[in-house]
Amino acid sequence: MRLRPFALVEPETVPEAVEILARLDGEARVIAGGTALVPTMRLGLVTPDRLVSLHRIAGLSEVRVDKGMLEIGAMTSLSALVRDGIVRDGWPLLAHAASRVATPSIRSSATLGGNLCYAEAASDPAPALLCLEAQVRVADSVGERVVPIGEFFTGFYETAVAAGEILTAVRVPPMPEGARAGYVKFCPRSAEDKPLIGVAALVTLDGAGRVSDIRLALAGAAPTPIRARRAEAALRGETLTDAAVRATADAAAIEADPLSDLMGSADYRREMIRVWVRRLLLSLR
Amino acid sequence: MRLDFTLNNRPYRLEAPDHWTVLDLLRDGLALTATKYGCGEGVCGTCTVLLDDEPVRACLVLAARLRGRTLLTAEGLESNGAPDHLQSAFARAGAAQCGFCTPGMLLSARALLAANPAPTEHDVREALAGNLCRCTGYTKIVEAVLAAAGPR
Amino acid sequence: MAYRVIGGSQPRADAWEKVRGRPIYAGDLAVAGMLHARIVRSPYASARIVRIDTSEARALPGVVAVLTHADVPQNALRMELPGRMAEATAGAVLATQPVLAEDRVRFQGEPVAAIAAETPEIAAEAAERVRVEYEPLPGVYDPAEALRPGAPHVHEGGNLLRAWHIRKGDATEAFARADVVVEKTYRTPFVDHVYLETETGIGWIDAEGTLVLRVSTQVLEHFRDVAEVLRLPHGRVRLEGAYLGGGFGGKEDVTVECLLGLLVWKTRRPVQLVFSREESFIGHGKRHPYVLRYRSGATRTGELVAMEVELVSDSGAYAALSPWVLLYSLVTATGPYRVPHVTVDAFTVYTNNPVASAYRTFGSIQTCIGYEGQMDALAAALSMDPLDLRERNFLRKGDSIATGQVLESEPMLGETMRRAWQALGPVRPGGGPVRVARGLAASFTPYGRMCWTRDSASAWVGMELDGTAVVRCAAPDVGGGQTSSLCSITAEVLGVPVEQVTAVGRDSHFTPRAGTTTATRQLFMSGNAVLKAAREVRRHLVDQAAEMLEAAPEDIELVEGRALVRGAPDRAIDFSALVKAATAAGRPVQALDKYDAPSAPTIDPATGQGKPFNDYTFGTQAVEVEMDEETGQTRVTRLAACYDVGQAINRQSAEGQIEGGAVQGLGHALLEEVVLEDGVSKNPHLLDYKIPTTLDAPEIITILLESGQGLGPFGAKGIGEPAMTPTPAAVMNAVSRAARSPLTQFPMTAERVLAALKSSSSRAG
Repeated sequence: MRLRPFALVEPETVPEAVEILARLDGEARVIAGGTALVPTMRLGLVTPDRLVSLHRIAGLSEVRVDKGMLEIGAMTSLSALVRDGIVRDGWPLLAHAASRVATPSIRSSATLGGNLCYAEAASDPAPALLCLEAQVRVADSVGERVVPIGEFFTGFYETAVAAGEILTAVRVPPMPEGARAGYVKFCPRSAEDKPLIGVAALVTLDGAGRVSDIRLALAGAAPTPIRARRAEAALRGETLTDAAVRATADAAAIEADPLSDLMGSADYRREMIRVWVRRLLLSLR
Repeated sequence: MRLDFTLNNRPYRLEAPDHWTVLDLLRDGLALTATKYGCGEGVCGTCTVLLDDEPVRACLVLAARLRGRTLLTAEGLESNGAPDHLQSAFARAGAAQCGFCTPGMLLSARALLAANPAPTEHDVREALAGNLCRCTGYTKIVEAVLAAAGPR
Repeated sequence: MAYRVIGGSQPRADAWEKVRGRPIYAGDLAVAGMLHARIVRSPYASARIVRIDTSEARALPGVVAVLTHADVPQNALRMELPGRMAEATAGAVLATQPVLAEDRVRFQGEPVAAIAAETPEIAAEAAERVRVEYEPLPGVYDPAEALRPGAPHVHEGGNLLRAWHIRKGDATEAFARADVVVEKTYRTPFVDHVYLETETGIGWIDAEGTLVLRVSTQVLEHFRDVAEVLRLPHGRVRLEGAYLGGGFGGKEDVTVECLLGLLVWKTRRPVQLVFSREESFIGHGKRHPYVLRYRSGATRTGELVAMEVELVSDSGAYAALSPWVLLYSLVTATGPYRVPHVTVDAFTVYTNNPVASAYRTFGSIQTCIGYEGQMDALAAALSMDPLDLRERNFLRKGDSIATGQVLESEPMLGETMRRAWQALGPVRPGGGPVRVARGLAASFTPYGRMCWTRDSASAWVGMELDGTAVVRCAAPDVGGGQTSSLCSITAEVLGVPVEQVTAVGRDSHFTPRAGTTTATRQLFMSGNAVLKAAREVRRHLVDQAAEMLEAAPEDIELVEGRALVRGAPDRAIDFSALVKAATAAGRPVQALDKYDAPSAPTIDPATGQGKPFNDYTFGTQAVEVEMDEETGQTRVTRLAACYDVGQAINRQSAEGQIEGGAVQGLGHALLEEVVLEDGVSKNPHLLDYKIPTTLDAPEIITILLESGQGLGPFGAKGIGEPAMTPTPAAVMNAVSRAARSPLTQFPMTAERVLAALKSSSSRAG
């Protein structure tokens, strides 16, 4: 089934891309891997007359470490991210979460930048990046700014990237020394699906086994991916006993504000948050 | 737009409309119909092709992305008219019933075996989880891939 | 019985074309000058059409035709069956359905306009420019509601489309005598076929002025529907059957044929019509939702004494095949058991929901859920082992089913059950939050059409001068090995190596008509037709060889492309020489034959008594499930299936049918439901209508029994539909056991299972 005709613009630099977007002033959409955008276009949900593709911009798919910070180009495919030795060694939480997205033939095209900009609440990489307290670089016609990931998701399918801007990179600080981390994706329908809910956790224990640092992020729990800060507060300073973990899971379920849809009801999502936060934290003991 | 790329080991130069996907280009531009339209959402996998050896959904990738790259479709698996090892394994195992999912399955399986020459059954099922089949129940497809991976 | 080809496990004739991705499907052919079609469909489930304005669409450059009801010569598809069924349905024409809606739309997706344009993009844009003014009308979306007085009428004459009944003995009286009575209600949803290939066709007018349609269809006889709609003589329309990318009954009704034929005939240009996946979800008939109310009574020692069943199916907006699906449900309602007293009342009801029609098992899968759910419930009430209870009541040769039909061969049900159950292997324990449980379902499914249709199939078999054989038989190939089986049968009978048998095309004009690929009839019917024709050719070859080799005909063997004298292999002649000699001598080397299925009068409309089908396939599936008791998520980890297939033609093929049917059934059990809100689908996309993937499919063990008692070639029975019948019931029984709470609503999603777990634990206290 053909897409509705559009003109494709393929800028070769970031300034060129941003200039075109500013000039077209909202008439054009950005396309990265297309795995989220193209299905919506095919269903007629969005009907752009122009697409600005980022695929010819050199340097947007690099993965490197710069002064300890992981710099991931926005156009890095999820499969490249999963394969990358730097990411697997230094940021295994991110590699694992990225590996859970869809299937190999989606991950080969889907990009990290595209995944973040689509801003689905049920994203796998987003909770991992929230736990890692990443930042994103956003380029506009004036220059570039850095947005903490916690401020990046502004609403239901909405981000801090404004018209005329593009996300160029994701920066991830080093994982805390001795931290334990994990991500779990819960798909109650078929095994190949978006997550109903996803839980990412990063825990650091002090010498006495108490939680000195806890980051808990949830997918599918709210209009955006979120940090479950109240749940984190419940666990901070505690040891990972069954009771403490249970209390944290309960807090996360209460903190969540999920919606009901074809995948499941809000009540069921809440209950699954409770179950999977508990299970993930117990697995990190 | 003009596109120069390699397809099934041969160089191609074509004009294609901006809004065409790789699937449009293959089926309608080149009459290569092994790659199928099954859903247009990137879920069913019947449009799976290998782009620079990685499996992608031809229905989601714009044709513009082919510039300077290498594409392999199911038509490119055989050589001199003879089916390749994987194709033969599929035929022998009864892995094709209606056959509509078969081209996509073969390419996903090829990508798996290139990266992992000795997969477990679970590895095979995981690699093919993005290729839906409604006829076979997958049993003989998995058997075929394991047989192809087995000692040659 | 030792055969050379039959019963072996070899690659199918079509396997090599398929693994090479050859262009064998309807959408793989493009014709120069071809137009692209697009259908405009109603977004409303119930509305009056006030006005259709096509002027803007027609004005778009590149648009060649925009057709509405006024352009359709006879705007009515008629639901009728040839033969004596007309007598049983109180009128030959049961119902009609317009090709393009005229003044009213009755379901979301009903076609309103048909467009042909130079490019798909222009056709899509034209579709957006067709202005249809609708006035929404009150609709009805539940069969029970639809039967109430005052409910909006979907059609003139009320919403009850058809009712069937069985009255055997006196169930009311028998219940009074029963020691235990179990009463439950089961509910199943609309389910989609989700064949990977959507509805597709291409048409053109050939050099003789014949309208030719190359279509992905299970029914080549639709050429008649196209001819009627266009008011053409039937001989002026030809349907060419491409290989289907799956059918499962969804391509049994007319899908693209009439719309495509209309566009080709009006434009005089070749036209291609392909449904999008969304359009496929919305535009073709679904599996009927059923509410099944069962009441079963048994003695203390486990003998069934009575069953009372009420079946209500949702036909959706048009009749399609609903009355016949209901009839299959009627006949199978009580299961493969001896039940002396039976009352069944079955109703199919119009609503403004999607049209429901043919889908693999054709009404037998829903009743299996009912009768097998009841057996487990009775076993629990009697504190009896569920296998023992079934064994005690299984039909045997000489017993009669609920319609009074006496079974003439041994169903072997006990053996299918025990072997399937044992094949699950040692019981595996659960651990932590994971519960492991097992369940099973025995089943019976008709193969072959209803007896009163006087079904028949024809085939032509012939030898070529090079010693190879050709089969001409218009049996559509849905991917179940229909074509390959005919080659195997021919190879077996004639002694031609199977790779030297070619099946040539399948179409409504040039190949002998073999009827529909539906109702698990094709092996039975076309297989027998080919068998007859091949045997006739064999006689001629043997007679010729006997003459040339100076031997008696009974001493001639045909093996591996040669005719030889038994015991004297040096006295032989190769087929090429044999055929040339026969031809020179004026002896025929081909035969056209027809196979007629045994027929019987229609069953009694008031009591259901009679012989509805010639034979049935009996089989059991047993499953093991793992259930996470905190999430409700349930996986089928192992499935074992045992069937009497009569005689496997190609073992690999028979296994493949069972494996595929079981996984499709698993989808029905755990995943699949068309979600509707006042008749409008909320999930017409694969993103939200999930079918099983490789990771959802279990290890599957198939056990084939071969009684040789089938009515098909070499004693074969049919397996296509029976392969799926017991799966949802078996999964339901396992899930109910794991949850310690009966689940009776499908699909058994994780959320529903969790609710059942919670209710069971609150009951346990």
